[in-house]
Amino acid sequence: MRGRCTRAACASLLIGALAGCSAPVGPDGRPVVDPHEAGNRSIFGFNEGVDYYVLNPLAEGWSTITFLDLRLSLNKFFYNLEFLVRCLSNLGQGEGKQAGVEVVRFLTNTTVGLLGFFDPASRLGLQRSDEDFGQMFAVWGMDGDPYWVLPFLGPSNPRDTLGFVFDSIFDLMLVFGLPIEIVNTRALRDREIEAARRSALDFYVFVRDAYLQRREAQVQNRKLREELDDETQGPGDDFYELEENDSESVP
Amino acid sequence: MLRWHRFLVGVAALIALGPAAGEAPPLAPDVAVQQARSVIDATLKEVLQVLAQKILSEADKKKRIEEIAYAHFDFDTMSRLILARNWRHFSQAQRDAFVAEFKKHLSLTYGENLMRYKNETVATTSARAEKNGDVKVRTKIVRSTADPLLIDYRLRQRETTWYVIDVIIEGISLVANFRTQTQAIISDVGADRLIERLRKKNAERAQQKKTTP
Repeated sequence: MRGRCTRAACASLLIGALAGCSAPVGPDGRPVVDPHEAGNRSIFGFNEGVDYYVLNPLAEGWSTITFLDLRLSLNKFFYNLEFLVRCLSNLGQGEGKQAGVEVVRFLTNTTVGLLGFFDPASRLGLQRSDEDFGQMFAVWGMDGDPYWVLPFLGPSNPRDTLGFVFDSIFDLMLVFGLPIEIVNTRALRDREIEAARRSALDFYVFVRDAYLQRREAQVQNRKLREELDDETQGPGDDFYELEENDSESVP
Repeated sequence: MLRWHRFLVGVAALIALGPAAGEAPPLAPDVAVQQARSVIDATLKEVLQVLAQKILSEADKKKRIEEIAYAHFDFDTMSRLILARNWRHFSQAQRDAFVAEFKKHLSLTYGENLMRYKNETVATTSARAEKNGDVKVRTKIVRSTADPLLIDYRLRQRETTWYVIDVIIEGISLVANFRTQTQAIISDVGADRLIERLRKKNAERAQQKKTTP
């Protein structure tokens, strides 16, 4: 595990070096995370409008004509149909065992779990692993710059956009089911989204930072999520160092 | 049983060594980890007890949870970590104002998020010492309406007590997220406008307004 991670890290360093300082650097000498911020902000604003005027009303309507257990089961059903994405991207990262587990999970949930509406596999201790092609490309050494926001789809970058294309190809979901999946997911996530909007000082920056941190954590942490080891999630120790005070006023 | 035994040994060691002027001597890592973890265990228990009391109104519950949060978060350290390099450019009045508003911000966020949970179980799953002496405690919330949620708490010891200095939800550090937001605002419009914006936001949230784009 560790050996492979080091190799992946080396590979990404090498590719980064070959790409030759492609990340633009700001006046303060730090790399610019979001070189297309102005454009991204307007697309973000457009997406927020789509959510406010179309998606959220649809999701609210959907919530009134369905009951929660149905929405949860549908969520499992859609998730089950994406097993090929998880299986292949695990395989691409050398996680043969996890790829196998995904196949067994799919077979179990499609049969015993009645087409995937239920998830007996998890109860049997078959751990899910939420890998996707974007994460696989990251492990292959593709870096995530620059950040961009896609119309309708939200936060992404070239790597994850390419990953998304592959994810869509290997999603067994038939296209006509997609609108239901989107509305259903939006309905299930309503409170989280509302809470995030409430708490953010600048929702655009909030979403960008959350996206970047989350993807980084997902790429770093390919192991069983509950194990706390060297590949733990979150910022490293340097982040938690306090700045020295040159002012006398602080205890 | 063993856990308590270790804790007592830790306490005995503390007394024997005699903390000099509030400075705690470095603890053996496993004692530190155990102490920090028990802080989170106890806090989660307190929160669950509040949420389970049916006679309390939602407002009362929020108030109680706020008090619990106030007792266990180190808002001063969190504010300094959030402001990072900007901290030294803040006047004392600006610092105080920021810490006060951040405190409100965090308890509002904490309260709003916790009120949503019903019939969930939460438990600490593991804990470990970080190289700089902090301890990270990992918790897992099992929800009936969604996938399990992993929340890590990073704790730092001040004097003899452990305080939460960051909350990491599914890999997203709250302090890092807030740092990014505040840095952008400070460099665009300055410290006073940042504090003003935070104050306005807190007041809005307290009134439960629905957000519009």
